Amino acid sequence: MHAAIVGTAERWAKTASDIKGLATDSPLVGEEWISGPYATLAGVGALANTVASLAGGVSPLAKTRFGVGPGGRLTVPVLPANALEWVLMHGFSAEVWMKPTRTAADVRANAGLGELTPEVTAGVGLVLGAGNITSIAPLDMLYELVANNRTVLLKLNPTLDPMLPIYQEALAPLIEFGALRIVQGDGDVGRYLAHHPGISHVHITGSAVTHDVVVYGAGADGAARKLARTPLLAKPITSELGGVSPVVIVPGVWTKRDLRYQAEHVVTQRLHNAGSNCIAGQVVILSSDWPQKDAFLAELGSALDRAPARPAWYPGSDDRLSSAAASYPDAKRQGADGRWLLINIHPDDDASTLTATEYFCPVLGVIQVPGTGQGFLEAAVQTANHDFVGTLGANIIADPKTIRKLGHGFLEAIAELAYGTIGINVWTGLGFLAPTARWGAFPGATIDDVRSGVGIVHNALLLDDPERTVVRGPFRPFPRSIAHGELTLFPKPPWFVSARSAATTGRLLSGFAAGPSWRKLPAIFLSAFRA
Amino acid sequence: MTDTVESDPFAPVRTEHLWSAHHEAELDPERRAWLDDLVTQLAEGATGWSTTPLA
Repeated sequence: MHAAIVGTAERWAKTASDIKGLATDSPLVGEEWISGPYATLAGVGALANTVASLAGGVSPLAKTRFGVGPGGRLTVPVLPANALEWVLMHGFSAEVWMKPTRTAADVRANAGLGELTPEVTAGVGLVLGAGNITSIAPLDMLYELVANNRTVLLKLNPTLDPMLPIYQEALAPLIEFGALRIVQGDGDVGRYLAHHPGISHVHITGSAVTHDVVVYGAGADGAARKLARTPLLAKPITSELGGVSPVVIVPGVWTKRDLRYQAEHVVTQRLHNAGSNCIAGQVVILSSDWPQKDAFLAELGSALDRAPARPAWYPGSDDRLSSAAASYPDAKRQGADGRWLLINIHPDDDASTLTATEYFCPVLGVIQVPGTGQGFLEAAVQTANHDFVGTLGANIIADPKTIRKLGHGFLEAIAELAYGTIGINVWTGLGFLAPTARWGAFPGATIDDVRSGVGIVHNALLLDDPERTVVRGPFRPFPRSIAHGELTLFPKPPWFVSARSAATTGRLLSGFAAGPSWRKLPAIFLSAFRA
Repeated sequence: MTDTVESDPFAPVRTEHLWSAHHEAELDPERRAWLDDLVTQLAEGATGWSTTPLA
């Protein structure tokens, strides 16, 4: 499969860039390399390692040294997975937290999911592909196939229809094997297949609205069925549905360059893919008592203005942005062509529309919560948990000194934050890219109250019922990291919207994922340092 | 929430036009037969693939 994907990689990135209206020479093409071929190659490689291990009778966790998290949770380190990754992603890490009741023996014994009983088929699964990121549909399909023992009928979202020939070629080994078919079509095709008696399960990456239409039907009839909890869909469905992601800024003493870098970091979380990501950072939670609050807000505006222009390519994006502007008349148009919207909400004003609407477009909001230190962090966590729609991902930005000062209280606050992926000084997008991380909503949703979805994907170690993923990154890029006592060597990440060499780095990273090798690292570093 | 594109980023047209409450879609018989055949192929694949290593 790697060879088939590699054979399409250039056309994959080009087609994705064309769909999104990116110029061939734009650094933003790097986003399409990283969120397309790179993510898919990394996912296939990690799953292949796990399958090979299990086929040899060895648990994928045989050599894993578990950690202990808050509440006695078992934690499974998943990034870096090996020495190569340790160097490549220096300073970044990810761990999967298991639920508090799990033991090491139990977690190790149950890792493998469907691959523990590969002879037992679970029928044919329908995957309703996402329309925004080109690796999502292939990765969702792979998880169905490997973790759940289902062959897959993949229906593309019409937005990504031009990807069909690429997918057919990249995934040809699975198609030839009889494990995959790919179709195009609108909702009538999706509806027909979802209710088809030969389909045993449905997985959707999309919006909660679409999910409910699949489960209950559309219009007033669908609404009535949902109210009565009588689904039309008579089979199980899993989902990844997005939400409103918070970005919590923990007050600290930041330098001017810290303020500028972290503002770019936040803007990246919003503007990546023109804001059309289920995991986009949408609302910044600032401390109203932070002395540097105004300076950070000024840097946010500047970072938005500096961000490279790009089309709001996703259908309905402009309308949704206009809707946000109508809800918040004082919002400021930012960016060279005024296409980004910054909504700075006064502490006394109502933020409920902002925190309850997944805009899926370049709308960035800021709300304020009082307090400093642990008090602020706990208040921010409560605000996110109670006021924000969805549970897919949350981001926390805090300088190392403040994290050390908060000590165990910091981790306790993380544990309270009810999100499927939590990024500490790194966008939760890294949790999406890390194939061994668990990806999906926080546990607890049901089809009646689906929030960010039910079930998970990626999870290449095939962990049984993990609780969440926690990813960490350096607060400062190299070399400032070293100067401030953080021993990390990673420069500005290539997924930053301001990374000038992102296209080259993304291409090189895809080559690395196709065949990891020490020899490929120097070129990647050289490119990354030009960001 | 409504069924329109404004509230549904993954359905860029009115969803009631796409996903009616009736199971029988407006798909033409030829298209349905084609989809039925794909499901049948995959059902056959489902009984065969899982015992063969993916790698």
